[in-house]
Amino acid sequence: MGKWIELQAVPGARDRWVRAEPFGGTVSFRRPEMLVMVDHAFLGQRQPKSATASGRLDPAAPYEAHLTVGHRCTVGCPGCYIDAREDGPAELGFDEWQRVLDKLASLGVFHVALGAGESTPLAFLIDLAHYARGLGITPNLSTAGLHLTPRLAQKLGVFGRVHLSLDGAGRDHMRGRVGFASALMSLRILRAYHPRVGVNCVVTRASFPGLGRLFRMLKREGVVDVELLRFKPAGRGAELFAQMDLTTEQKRTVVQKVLQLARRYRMRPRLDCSFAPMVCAAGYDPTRLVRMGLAGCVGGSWLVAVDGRGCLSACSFDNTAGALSWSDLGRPGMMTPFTNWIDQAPSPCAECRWLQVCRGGCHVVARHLTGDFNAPDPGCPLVQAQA
Amino acid sequence: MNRKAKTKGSVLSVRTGSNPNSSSLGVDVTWLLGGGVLVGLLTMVGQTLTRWALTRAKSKHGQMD
Ligand code: SF4
Ligand code: SF4
Repeated sequence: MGKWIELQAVPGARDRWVRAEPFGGTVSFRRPEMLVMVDHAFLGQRQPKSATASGRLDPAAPYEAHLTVGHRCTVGCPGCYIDAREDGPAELGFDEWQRVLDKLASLGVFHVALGAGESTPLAFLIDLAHYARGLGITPNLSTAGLHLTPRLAQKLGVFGRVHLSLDGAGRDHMRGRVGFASALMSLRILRAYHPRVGVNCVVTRASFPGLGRLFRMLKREGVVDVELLRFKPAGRGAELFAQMDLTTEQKRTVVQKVLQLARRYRMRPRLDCSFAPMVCAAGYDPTRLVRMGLAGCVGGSWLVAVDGRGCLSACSFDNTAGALSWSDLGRPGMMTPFTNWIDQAPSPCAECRWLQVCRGGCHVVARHLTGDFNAPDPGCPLVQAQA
Repeated sequence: MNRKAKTKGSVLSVRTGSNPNSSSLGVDVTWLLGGGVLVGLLTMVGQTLTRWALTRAKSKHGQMD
């Protein structure tokens, strides 16, 4: 279609460019990278009465799946959300992962994000990415950068994007065996061989003041894409959560701070789904947030996760994994605690004008702090103001 | 809804970039800079590009749906 514009065919449906959704359809672009959600009228179809009943953009199938391809890892990050260890549990092999990808393609999933403990030493990582490509799915990769060599970095070209886990500049980086100097080296190797390299950064109470330093360092290294994540109480992170979670003041100011840094360093930061309450509490018009694709807790709806043992969950941090298997993918009504959360939203979320976009904040955080999955996210500045 | 919107339909949401993270889902927040202007622009570009690309794909590769 041209050098600058390339559509992504809906996986599993040859020559089809629009994935049918309850609200209309989704079109995926490889270049420029974007997902566009349109209504029925845009596609020249009659709008069914049910289409806008909920006012939510709940797709017919997930847009992406997070695949934790390994639970074995020697890096030893103190807050690892999957509690990866050298002697981790038995994991799916290449054949089984191929079947997972087949299933995802049959559902029309556009992207998979591969991560692990540490994924780069996995013998079949590259083959799996090629297999996903063959099915029409775009594979992306998160890595701690351990064992990264120029040769391996070259092979990572099969991934649409590669993001390195980097928690901050200098001592803010807390990745066990992979110290800051080693992470920086990995970043430079990746940048030399891959056109789309960025950084994933877990923002903690201690690293928050150093965000400016991180942006400055990334700018110097030529990196513009940085995804900022809230620390989650999952895996080894559960015990550390109290000391890692942002302070009330940090939660209140994080969005403005990130935007200031984006403007100053001309970078493109992304905030993860669990930061949605902080974006909403900053007062932006909810319609505008929906238009730019902000989605709060879309676990089980826009995304699903399969871990290294083959367990399916609504998101990688959902520790109820084990009840479902990847073979349940596509079975209706599996993720209802997540997907129906809004229908039983408690106060103050029930009255909140951002409910449809935020969806009550991070339920994993809520469950950890209150013991109740259905509670509003206690980290939301609006919930805190009510308390 | 005006007549034009009725016949042409709307773009409901445009998510730029692709999620590079294997544990949660991120959104590009730079669209929040510049008041509502940038988001309006994003929707317009999304609409024009999608319509153009679908028409092209349809004529080149066959029926789109
Ligand atoms: S529970 Fe929801 S908000 Fe929290 S990380 Fe998972 S999908 Fe995101
Ligand atoms: S009150 Fe609830 S719905 Fe509203 S922003 Fe906070 S967590 Fe989200």
